[in-house]
Amino acid sequence: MIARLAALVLACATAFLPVAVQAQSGPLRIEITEGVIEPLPYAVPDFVAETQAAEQFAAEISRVVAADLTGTGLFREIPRDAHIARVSSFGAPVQFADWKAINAQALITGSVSADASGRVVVKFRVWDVFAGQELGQGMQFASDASGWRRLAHKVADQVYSRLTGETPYFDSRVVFVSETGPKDARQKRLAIMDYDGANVQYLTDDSSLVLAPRFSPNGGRVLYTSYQTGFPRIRVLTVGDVASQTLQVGEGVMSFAPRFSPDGRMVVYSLTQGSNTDIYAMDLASGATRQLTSAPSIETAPSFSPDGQRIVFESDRSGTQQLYVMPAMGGEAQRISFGEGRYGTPVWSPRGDRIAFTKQNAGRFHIGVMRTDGSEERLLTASFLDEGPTWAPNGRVIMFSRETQGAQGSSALYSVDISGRNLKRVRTPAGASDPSWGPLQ
Amino acid sequence: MRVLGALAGLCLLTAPGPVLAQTYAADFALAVQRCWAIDVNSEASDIAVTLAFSMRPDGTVVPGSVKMVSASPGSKAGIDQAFQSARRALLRCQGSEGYNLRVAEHAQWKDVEMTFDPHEWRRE
Repeated sequence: MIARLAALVLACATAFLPVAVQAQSGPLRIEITEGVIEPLPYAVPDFVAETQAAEQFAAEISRVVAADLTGTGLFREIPRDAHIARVSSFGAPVQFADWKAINAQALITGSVSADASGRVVVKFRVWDVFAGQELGQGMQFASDASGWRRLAHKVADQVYSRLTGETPYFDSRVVFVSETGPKDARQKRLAIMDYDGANVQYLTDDSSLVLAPRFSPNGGRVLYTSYQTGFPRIRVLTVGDVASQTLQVGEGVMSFAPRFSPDGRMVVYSLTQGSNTDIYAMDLASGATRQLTSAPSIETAPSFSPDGQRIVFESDRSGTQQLYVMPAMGGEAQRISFGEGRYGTPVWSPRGDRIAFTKQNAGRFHIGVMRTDGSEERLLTASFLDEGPTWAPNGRVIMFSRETQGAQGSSALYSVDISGRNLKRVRTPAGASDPSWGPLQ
Repeated sequence: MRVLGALAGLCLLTAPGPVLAQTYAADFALAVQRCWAIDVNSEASDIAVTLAFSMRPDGTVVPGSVKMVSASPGSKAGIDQAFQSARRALLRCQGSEGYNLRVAEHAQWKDVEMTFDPHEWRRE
């Protein structure tokens, strides 16, 4: 360390000597190679209620916007009681000096109106405080009163996108398995909720076991595994009318681990015949099926790359459970996981650049990510049982199930940033597992 | 490791220009980097951007003078995010009184090109 420091100082000193006497021409050039990692401070005063009927929504919408932004871990809200300026009109000039004084880098102002028919309209603007200018243009969204939370998520999505340059994910939903009852007699049913755990609705009753729901690319359908007949069969459910039907993949066989292709036209799944489990694909329009693997081992948990060209899956063909990538039409598979332990439930990122997975090693479970060639493996979590990752629509956040130890242990949903930061629980009314994050609505 | 990174950064930043300008540059860089917050998972954290701007004698940035003169490869959104992050750092850290630079040498720091390069930082 000291030697490297000395070498560096010598190199710097040597570099300085020739230039110390040179006259400067042109601008002063500076390079900055260090910074700080901290959430960006922002302020969101309560939105202005423009009508009496809007009063019930104005504060609530601004609170949901703040919860969305702060929940990313990228932003820090400046408490409202620290605000100096008061925003009493949507069109009033922004008092930038007052917001600078409390170190707000971004300011979100908004207003809400509601009419007798129940139509709610929210308007908002985003301000770059230190530049003293608006960031993008003001926008408005409208819905009926029941959709006020979606309005808030849409506002937060716009703000997030303008501040980070990333595609957003707040106006999205998650389908999952809701769990009640003791561990040895747990009742499970499909449920759907907003990404933040609000607005939970149940899609199935608890009369039969359900597992592993997976959203279609447009969020209109859900694939899942049902034990209605006593052994696993894949079903397709339409979210709008909650109607479902069995995917006809053959009689007397177990089918499970389904997932849609990126265009929604195909389903890949596992099928067990005898003692062998392989991966198959079905064209939903024609019902035609195709066998994609044919190894005498267990191949399961297939997941398409976002361009539909490749499939990642888990297999124990090497003797331990590992991850492999093969062409979408089947063919030679390339092993991509080589670390210690067992790897499973791989899911391709919507950005296409990473694969999330569950890893079991030395008695602990982890959620991790790696590049699609298996490089740069990074474990994001560790616990008694973490499993089943699913990606946010923008590929920046992962949700998964965490089960606690013991007879009284329960399962809950958590989310974590792909850096491993900002691990937090997603609040649900009951136990929850097997999340599948849907698209931006 | 961070010490090495910081020294390397200062070495790079102070190489060109006369001695006084080197001192200003080092102080200036340290002042700005305290406000340079980037999200290490974003595309922007892979993009180096160079801003050009003018400075007033009182050490404040001339409003409206900040522009991006170059960027390493990246998407439009990523480059814009990197630019906004750098610009915010520059404007935020000047505070209300400006950067602590000697008025007598204003000619040396009147026009500045500042490169924000997160690559070394990310590797730590």
